[in-house]
Amino acid sequence: MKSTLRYSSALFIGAALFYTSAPAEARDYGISSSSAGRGTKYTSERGGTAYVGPRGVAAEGSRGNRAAVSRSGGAVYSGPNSSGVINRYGGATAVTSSGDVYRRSPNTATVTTRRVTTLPNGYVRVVPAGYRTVVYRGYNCRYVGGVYYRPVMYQGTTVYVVVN
Amino acid sequence: MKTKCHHLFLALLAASLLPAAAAEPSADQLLRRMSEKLAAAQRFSFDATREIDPGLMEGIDLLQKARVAVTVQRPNKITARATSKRGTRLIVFDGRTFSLLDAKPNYYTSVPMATDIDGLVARLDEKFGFVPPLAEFVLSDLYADLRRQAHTITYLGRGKTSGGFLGLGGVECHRIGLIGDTADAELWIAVNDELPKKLVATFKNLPNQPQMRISFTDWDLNPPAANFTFTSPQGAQKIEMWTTENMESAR
Repeated sequence: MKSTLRYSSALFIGAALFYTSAPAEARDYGISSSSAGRGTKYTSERGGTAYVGPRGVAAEGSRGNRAAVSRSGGAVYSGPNSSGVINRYGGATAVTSSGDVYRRSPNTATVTTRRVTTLPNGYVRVVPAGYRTVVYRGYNCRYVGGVYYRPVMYQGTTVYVVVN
Repeated sequence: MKTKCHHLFLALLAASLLPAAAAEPSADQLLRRMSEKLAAAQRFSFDATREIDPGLMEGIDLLQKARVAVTVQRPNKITARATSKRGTRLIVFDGRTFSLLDAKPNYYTSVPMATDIDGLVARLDEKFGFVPPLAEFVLSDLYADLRRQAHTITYLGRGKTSGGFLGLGGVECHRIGLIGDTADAELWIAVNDELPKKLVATFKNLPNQPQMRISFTDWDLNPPAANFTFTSPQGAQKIEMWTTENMESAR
């Protein structure tokens, strides 16, 4: 009994440190939102939940604090008022509950005030009208308004990398 | 005396309900039988209509309605064609190569993937962050996959699907409730052939609790031989398939 309690406490503390919503919301009924969904779930007596998957660990405390660490070195935190991501290259992104996004690359710091986009900066799903197809840096791209858009397949659909 | 009569009435009422309760099918057994039937089919095909509410998939803000046609040859061949207002996507997997065509812009991608259908679904999910449409229903063990997603399974009774002229073409089904951590679902399994006819999944932890609704039609457990070789259409341009790691490193 004592060891169970100790385990629960440890997990509860761990739960405050590690979690991401991605593991819980990964592939269900054909809906895939993340590649990190295949893991083992552990639940503590005090309401904490932890996931150990092939690409990292994640946990949620009973009060809703969430955090995760990936094997490649990224980290995610989600609390009641904000959430944040640190990638393995040192870049950081924070999102507040009001939807503001704070982004900091390893070398520069920027602050934007817009809603979270579903694709990273430099990616778009639709190219503006009036484009023409050209070859740029060895790739067939769409070119419009002085910008090159390189098509790639991502999660089953075409998206465009803003090349220039 | 009055109390004795009351007890007798209750006892009779309970006795009359017992046979009905005993006759209720086991939801678990129904799921198993459906799964075994699909697993035993070496070749099968089906059509489905899939509706996905806004907010369920990243970057998709409108209701998505698609017609999906799937053909499977176990253990390692599958084609799936999904047609919607956004265009047509064709998936072809021949056991060695996975190809995907986005027909509207006429782009396609091919990646080597020597595995079976289960391996394909797992690798696509893990490396590329998506799975083929209705992937659960082509796995070799649908039962295990549904049990992975649902910690509680209950029998909800019978229902009839709507279909055909004035709804007369409806199919009598068992309704199975699947309660999971992420989603709650209701799966309708036909009484006569024990094949899935309808699935409604509600993603209860997401804002507005979006749903995915699937209606299955035209199950064929012995279809004619299909062609699982991908041939790119005229003028189609081959592009790279981006991994989730590619995308995450850009964030």
